[in-house]
This record gives sequence, structure tokens and C-alpha cells, in this order.
Amino acid sequence: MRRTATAPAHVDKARKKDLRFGLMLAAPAVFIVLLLLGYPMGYAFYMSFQQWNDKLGMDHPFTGLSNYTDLISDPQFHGAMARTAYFSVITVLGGVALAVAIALLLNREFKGRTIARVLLLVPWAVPPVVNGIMWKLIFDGTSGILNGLLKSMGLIKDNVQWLADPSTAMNILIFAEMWKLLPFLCLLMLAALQGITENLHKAASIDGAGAWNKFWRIILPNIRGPLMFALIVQSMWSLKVFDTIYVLTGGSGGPAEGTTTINFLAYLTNFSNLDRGYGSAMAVTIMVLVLLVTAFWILLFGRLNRSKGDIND
Amino acid sequence: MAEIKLINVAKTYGKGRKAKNAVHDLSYTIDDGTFVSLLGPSGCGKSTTLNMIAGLEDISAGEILIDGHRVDDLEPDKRDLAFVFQDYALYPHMSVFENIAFGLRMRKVPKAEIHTRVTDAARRLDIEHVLSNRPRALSGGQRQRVALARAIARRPAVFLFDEPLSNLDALLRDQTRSELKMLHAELGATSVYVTHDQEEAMTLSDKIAVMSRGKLEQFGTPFEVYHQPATEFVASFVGKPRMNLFTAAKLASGHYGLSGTHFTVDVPAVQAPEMRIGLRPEECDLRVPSSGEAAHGTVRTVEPLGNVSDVILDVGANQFLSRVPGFGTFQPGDEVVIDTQRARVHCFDIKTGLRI
Repeated sequence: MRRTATAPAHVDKARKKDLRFGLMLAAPAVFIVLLLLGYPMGYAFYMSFQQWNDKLGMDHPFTGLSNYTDLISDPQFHGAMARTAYFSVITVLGGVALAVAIALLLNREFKGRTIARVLLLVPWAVPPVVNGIMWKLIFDGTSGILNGLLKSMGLIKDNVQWLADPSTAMNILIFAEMWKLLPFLCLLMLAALQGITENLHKAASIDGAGAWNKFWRIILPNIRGPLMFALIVQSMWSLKVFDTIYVLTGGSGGPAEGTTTINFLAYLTNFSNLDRGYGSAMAVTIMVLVLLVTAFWILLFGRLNRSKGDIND
Repeated sequence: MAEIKLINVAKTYGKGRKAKNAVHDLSYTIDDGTFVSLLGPSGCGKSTTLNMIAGLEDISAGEILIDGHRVDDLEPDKRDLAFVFQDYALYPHMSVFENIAFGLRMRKVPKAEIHTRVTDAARRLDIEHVLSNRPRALSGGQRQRVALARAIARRPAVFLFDEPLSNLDALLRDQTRSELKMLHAELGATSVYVTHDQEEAMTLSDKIAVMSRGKLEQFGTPFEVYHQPATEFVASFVGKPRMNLFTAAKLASGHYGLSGTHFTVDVPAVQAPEMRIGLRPEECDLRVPSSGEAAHGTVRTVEPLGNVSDVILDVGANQFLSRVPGFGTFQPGDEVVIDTQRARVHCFDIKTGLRI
């Protein structure tokens, strides 16, 4: 312990040199990140405090928090928030639960397991835009494959306008998004499950834990970390969903705003209505929302972690 | 308490032509309250046998009875046994207390009773001070104790151990081994212990089941296994240093010799023209040949261990080991005579490997 206190000068010097070299290596990457992420973020923040509509000319008066207060009473934003909540709750909770279920199945020994695992990854290999186009082709009201299939089976007489009804369009959006996100989540959960040793399962069997207790008391607590990670990243993705909506609805967020989530509304406000100030306020709000949700998951899992450590509970 | 009976138990992996027999036709009885080791090299089927007794693996044929009741179709938790794993298999997300209590909670033992049993088990194994810690905060030896505490808190009729000491360092292993022996003496529960370490098996067991390639080679007391090995495999596997084993040809009735040498052994009442002879190194003395006497072999190396020395000899084309007291007086290159007067001669059939 004393050695550090009386460390020779040349050691200190060498450490400083190392540190400087490390900073030098990291600098270009840090600079690029700041330029591409920090600058636009800062600029959006700056714009959100101004009345900045390109249709109203080049004058940008400072308006303080008025863009934000407008959001609070904007029915369009409320609608988008409700749709985002609906979309996110189903894709995050449903998606992660489904991923855990599929991973549990794939973690068992069965014939053709390797093939099943490879097939699982296929949707992940499809680019998001292609994924959107694929589902659009399937669900299209006039020339869609699904309508053709259902008609040939005699289940429907006339074409169903899947993407023209706001409520079905939202559910199809959720379906297409789940299709895309499941492979990653499954893989994450499968890797986590494989981290649980065979003997732990055996010990639980000997201790008399049935399938239910094994899942809730042994498996779930032991994949807590990856589970938290999955919930956080999926929450971020769901709150910020954009590409699937864009492709599936032809860039409209329709029908009748039926698939316009907050992020899509921010896009429309910014780039269709050219209301940069108001759109930026939305974007900043989304960012804060994402941070809050992330913090929520971390706090929740942190609490779970603590309460399980007590004796005599 | 519990007597475990195996009747023609077999385990086959795979089906049809790919089928592989892991365990063949095991039949023996583990008496109530005894400590029995399953001893053998890796891949001999000892762990499979233990898992089958535990119910962690199905049996392919035969029956397993505990106290006369057939258990081989029961779930592991219905067999009234506890299992100590090689890697301890502690639940990493639970405190030591919860690890020990988990099996009791699953069995709906009342809370007050759980508390008594956990603290009692912890006191026996001297881990009371770590009850609120997580397993990862413990040393290897402490984790081992937690695993043992988890087993004894359940108060099962049968304890099963799967190489529980092999993850400990040598010193701790010896210490834990004697504690295990005392624990068994105290609790008196039937115990089945899998190990590849013959020393562990000898020191702990009332009886040893020696296995090789899925077959039972011998089921006997440590004395029997050591002094009357039933097969050549048992003879070669049990005993440290290893028994000298060589093929000897009949010279005259009851008189066999190692071909190409002057080394001979007297074996009464055996008629086979050739057989395998086994001699324990510590029972073979060495001496300098007296005048006119032909030497049996030449000293190759001497390995002093302090209290004894292992002398390795070239005897014809074979190597022969003799354990002599102290540091010995032999040097490499010395010609010596092997004195087998006080040695117990073990004879095995050359084809079947069975004791003659």
C-alpha cells in the first residue's frame, strides 16, 4: 500500500504518457460522435425554444417553453402518445415474453434444434425496409397475398382492407414489428438461458421445484441482467419506431393517423409541416421519455435484486 | 432409514444402431446406513449410475428400489434424497440462507421449522457467519459447505455425492474428506459417493463399487478391493503406486516365470500355461544378489518420497516397481533380486481378467 504513495517519479510519468496516448486514440471517435449526435441534439434542443416554421419565413423568435406547453394540450400529440403506449406495451412486454418462451423451447433438446435456431435468425437478416415491404405485399387490400389466400380457402368473400382500417393497421404494424424484433430478443434470451448450468436445473429438481417454481424462482432471476437489457433496448426501439410505419403506410402514418406514433408525428411535424420548433420539442420530449423508461427498468430490477438478498423474507 | 437396491439396471443412449451402452446390468444392494463409493475412471458410468439413483436420468432397463419400494419411475424430489454436486450448483441469486432453505420451502416446511433446520445445518458446517452472503462472495471451501448444509438441512434418507471434493485444493480436500466421514458417522444416512480418486473411496467407504466401461468390476469392502481384487482392472486401478502386473508362463507346477528373465513366482494350485500375475510394490523387497545367484533386473531410477522410495527396475522387457523403506541404498544400474516372500500373489486369467 505504501508503494503507491512513494511511487517513483518515472512511474507517474509513464502512466500520464499512457493516459495521453489513450485519449489521443479515442479522440477521433469521440469527435465524430459529438459531431453526428451531439450537434444535432443540441441544435434540436435550441430550436425547440423558438417559433421556427419554415413556412412562416426566416424569422425565429424565442418563445421559451411555449412549444412544450402546447404539446400538453395538443390532441394530436395525445393521440400519438396513446398509440405509442399501446404499440410499446405490446411490443416490449409481449415481445420479450414471447422471446423468453421461444428461447425456453429452443433451449430444450430436440431433433432439428440447430435448424430451428438458424431459421429463427432469418427475419433478422431481412433489412427493416424489406420487412415492411414484405408485410405490405401480404396485407395489401387489393393485391395482397393474404386476401387471395383467405378467398381461395373460402373464409372471406370480399377483400379485407387490412391497412385501410386504423385499428387493424395498428395491429398489423405491431405484428410486422414483432416479426422483426423477435430474433434478436430470442437470441439474447437463449444465450442467457445457456448461462444457467445443467446442475442448477438438477439441483432445483432434487429440491422439489416443479416447472412453475423452477421458472419463477431459478430461471428468471438468473437471466435478470439480459432480461433488463432486452426490456431497455426494446423500449427504446418501440418508442422510436419509424421505418416499419414509414414503409407499411407509404410514409403517411395513416390511415387517419391510425399508425402515427410520437416519433412519426415528430417526423411529420418537422419534415411535412416544416414546423421545426414544435417538431424539435416533440423530439426532445421523446428523448426524455426514453430516458425515463430506461431509468424505470433499471430501478425496478435494482429493487428486485435487493429484495431477493434478504434472509427470512 | 434406506436401503438402495439395484436390479439389472442398464442405461443406453441413442436408439437402434447408434445405441451406446453407458451402464450394463448393474445389480447390487447398498445397505441401510452404509457409505458406498462408486469408483472408476472417467467415462465408466459411475456418474450415470448416481444420476439414475437420483432420478436425474431415466433407466433403460432394470429396477431401482429404495427400502423395497420401486422408485425408478418417481420424480427426483419424491425419492427422499439429497444431491451434492461437483460444482456445488448453488443458486447464485439467493443468499446462503435461501440456498439451504429452498428445498424446504418447496416442500412446504413451516417457516419456524425451516429457520431451525437451516441454522442447525449451518452450525454443523460452521457457516453461520455467511448466511446472508451470496455464494459468489464465498471461498470454494465455504461453497462446498453450503452445498453440504443444503443436503443435510433436508434430512433425507439418502445422500448422493458427485465428486464433491474435486474442485477443492489438495489441503482443503483432505480436511473436508475427514469432515465428511465424521458427518456420516453422526447422521448415519445411507450415502452414495462418486469419485475417481481411490484414496477418497478407500478412506470414506464401507463398501466400494469399482466400475469400468459401464460394468461393475467388484463390489466389496476396501479391504477386499485392495487385497482380493476380483479382476485385473480392479488390481490395476486400486492401489498407489499401481500394482505390478505382468504375463508369466508356467515353468513347473505352481511355478511361474517372467519370460526372458530369472524372475519367478510361486503360485500354488494353478494349472494355466500362462497367466497375469500381480504384485503390490510395497510387498516386494529388493536385495543385492548373493554370489552365484542370477539377478532379476536392473535399477533404472529411484524416486525418494522421504519415508519410502520407489525403485523402478527393468525386468526383461517389463518395468517393475518396488517401494522400499527410507531413501534405500540402490543406485541406477544396480543389479537386484526381487524378493516376493512376503508378497500376496494375485493371479488373473489371461483372457477374462478374472481372479484365479
